[in-house]
Amino acid sequence: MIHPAATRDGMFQATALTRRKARTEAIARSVFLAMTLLLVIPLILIVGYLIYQAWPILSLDFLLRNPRNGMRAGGVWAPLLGTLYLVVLSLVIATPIGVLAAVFLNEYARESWFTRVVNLAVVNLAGVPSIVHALFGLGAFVLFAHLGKSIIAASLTLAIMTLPVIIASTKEALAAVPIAFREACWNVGATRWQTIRHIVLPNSIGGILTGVILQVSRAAGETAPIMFTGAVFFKAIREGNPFAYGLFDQCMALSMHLFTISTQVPNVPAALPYGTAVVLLGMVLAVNALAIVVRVYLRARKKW
Amino acid sequence: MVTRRRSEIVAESAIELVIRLCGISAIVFVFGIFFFVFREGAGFLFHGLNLREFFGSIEWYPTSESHVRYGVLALIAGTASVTMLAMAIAVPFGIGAAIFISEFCGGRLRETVKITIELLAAIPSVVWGFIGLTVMNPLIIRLFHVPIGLNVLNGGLILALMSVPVIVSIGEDALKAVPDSYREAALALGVTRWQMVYRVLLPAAKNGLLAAALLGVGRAVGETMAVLMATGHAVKIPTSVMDSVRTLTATVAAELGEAAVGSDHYQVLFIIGILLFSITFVVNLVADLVVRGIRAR
Amino acid sequence: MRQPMVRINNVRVRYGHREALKGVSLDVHGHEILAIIGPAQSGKTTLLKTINRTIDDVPGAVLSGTVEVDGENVRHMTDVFALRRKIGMVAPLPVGLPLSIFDNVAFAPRMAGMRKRSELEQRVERCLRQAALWDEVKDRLDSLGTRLSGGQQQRLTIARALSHDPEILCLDEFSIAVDPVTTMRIEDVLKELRHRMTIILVTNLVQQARRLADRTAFLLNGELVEVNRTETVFSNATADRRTYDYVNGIFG
Repeated sequence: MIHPAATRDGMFQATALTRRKARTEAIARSVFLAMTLLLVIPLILIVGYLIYQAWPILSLDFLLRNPRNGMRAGGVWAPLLGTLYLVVLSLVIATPIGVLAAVFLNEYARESWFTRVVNLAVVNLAGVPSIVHALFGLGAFVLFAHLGKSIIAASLTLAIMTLPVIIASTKEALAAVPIAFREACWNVGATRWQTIRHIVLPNSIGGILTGVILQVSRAAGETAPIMFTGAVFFKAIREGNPFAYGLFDQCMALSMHLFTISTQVPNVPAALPYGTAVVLLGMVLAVNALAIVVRVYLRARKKW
Repeated sequence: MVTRRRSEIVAESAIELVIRLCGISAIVFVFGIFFFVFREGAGFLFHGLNLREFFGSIEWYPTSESHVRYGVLALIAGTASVTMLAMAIAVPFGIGAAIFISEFCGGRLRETVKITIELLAAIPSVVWGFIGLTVMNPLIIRLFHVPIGLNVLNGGLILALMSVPVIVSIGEDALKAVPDSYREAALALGVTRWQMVYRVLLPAAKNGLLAAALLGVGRAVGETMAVLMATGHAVKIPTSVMDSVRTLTATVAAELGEAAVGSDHYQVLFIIGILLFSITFVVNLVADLVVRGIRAR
Repeated sequence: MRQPMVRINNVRVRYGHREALKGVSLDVHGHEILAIIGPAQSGKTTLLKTINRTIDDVPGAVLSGTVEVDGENVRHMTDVFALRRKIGMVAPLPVGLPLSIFDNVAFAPRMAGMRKRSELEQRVERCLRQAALWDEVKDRLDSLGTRLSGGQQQRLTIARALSHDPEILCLDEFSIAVDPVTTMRIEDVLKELRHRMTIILVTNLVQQARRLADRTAFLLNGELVEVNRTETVFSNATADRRTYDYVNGIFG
């Protein structure tokens, strides 16, 4: 960019060199802008196309009615409810354990080879492929713990999948609280837990919440971990009843349903899978948008 | 003399115990994954699996009645080809976007772009697979005049879009970690912003950018549903991007449902799981060590 | 002779390979103001941390020797929190906790078990008055402590240090991040408080020691060079040549 003073009042005359530099600068900027746009624009186009294709079928009815006729008609009630069960249950399990584990790692554990190994393990676990989580869930919960293919086994599998990220984001939120606050509390005779409960945790809630909300969308979207641990092709449940599933039942799930009707069932009318995709995508994007809003709101209300 | 209520003191001891338990349990789960996957596959791994055939043969016929073969070479090739294509696209674009966000834009535009990339990351893999199936498939058939659009190209493009957010995020961290003094020194010498990026920033941030690329690879190798739906079903080593392939992850996902619990086929699928776990573990470990190097600075 | 309030006996502190304190022995008498002067990295802060046992929380710190407060060995005390409540500690950088001003000062009494609102209100007002902050904040006790100015936050820290009725008040270079006017006000506060408690004043401003302290100790590179009545330390009859040099700015 040409410095503003370069041409104002003729103080610095724009030379050929400056002009050439400005041109390179502009070109570089455009190239990088183009690269970014090339990532972003296809996304918008694709999402738009999905909504366009799904439009004929999107309605409240679609959400509240069960799939019928071998899943060639009807709505997504059973899968939607199943996904909600799985998400809520897995987060109810993972969040307290994850948050308290992070509190342990960040506030209590002394820096040692042990904590370094644990931190390494947590970070690496976050990168484990989802199919490996599926295998783990199958081996540990369905078979070893004799839970069978059930909502509880699938939820536990999802909980283990989201646990490392909840631990990592909670740790980050806790670490963002300045150590000076903790020292000030210890100096007046507060115990470690008192300090955590009254100063550290209340001021990390934002980061913790954002981390948990993001895992909601992940838990809702994953297919492989639930495919072999509790989600099924089809299950008949009563429409409109939010308590239709039992803990040891198998369930349908939105992600699995999308997979099924787009690859396993022939002759499905086009709008149906698009509709399912849009519902799933909408759910996930809405939750992520919520996380972003929470983050922005809390940044504005920062207390220090 | 004010003292704390006894009940409060007891409750505090209780909760500190719970905290310690949670800390330990997290560690247990973390190692438990490896243990349980290993457990299911161990039997066949030690008593029967021909390792040379496993790693060296492209013949994957687990359900054959006459001559069962467990060669995963073609599957490895499938994973490798899709991943390489994805990285060839995602790394330059991802780093380009990271440079754009970090150095060439500010304020509202930056926030908007960052949010869009985050939303890109949120899209579930089954939806990506669906996009590969219904959007990319016909597009590829029409543009390249091939009979099937489910191939390396399809999977590679989808994976690229899926890996970009990771690369952008870590890449941005890497660029942010370069001290402003480097930038200011360069600009004070009169170079353009692009020259500053090319000659000063990129060399300074190269460790972090490498880590970003590695984490992208880890993401791509581990992806299951999207490649299951978008790469086709051919177990063979691809000779062009128009070839259909099968990845390691997709194979497990596709066949686990049919394999009888405890059978050889079942155990081999778990062994593939161990292989996948090991690959992503190593990739993530290396990337993490490099990233830790930046954050610690 | 009356037992000293704090007895530090041959205390050594090591951080990894670096020795921060090399066998310091020092007595602090009740109701005196003892100043500890010395250049940076002499171990002054470390010494304070051994008294209220916050050295326990410093990773890698290794301690030997004994510290006795009011006759009791601090390492053998089971309730370290009661010990810390006996000692008020003011750090160099002002720290307002992210709570209301009222809650900042009420924090320590609440953690110690005080529950009645009226008692808390009394305590808060008393401590804010003692710290010379009451008049400035009495109408906005609900506002955030972190939004006060640096000088006000340091007085808030002092109010917090006083809120648990300490017998010993330790101040660690309190004036570093604070304007001269506030420094003067706080020095006046200390002159008032000395009648009620023992004060240990670590300072890098030698003139501050001269103004306030009964006795002055000179710490250099982890060693106690000299401790004497303040007049002696600032005269040319110091017990050690280095004290004279430091006090007169020949090095520092």
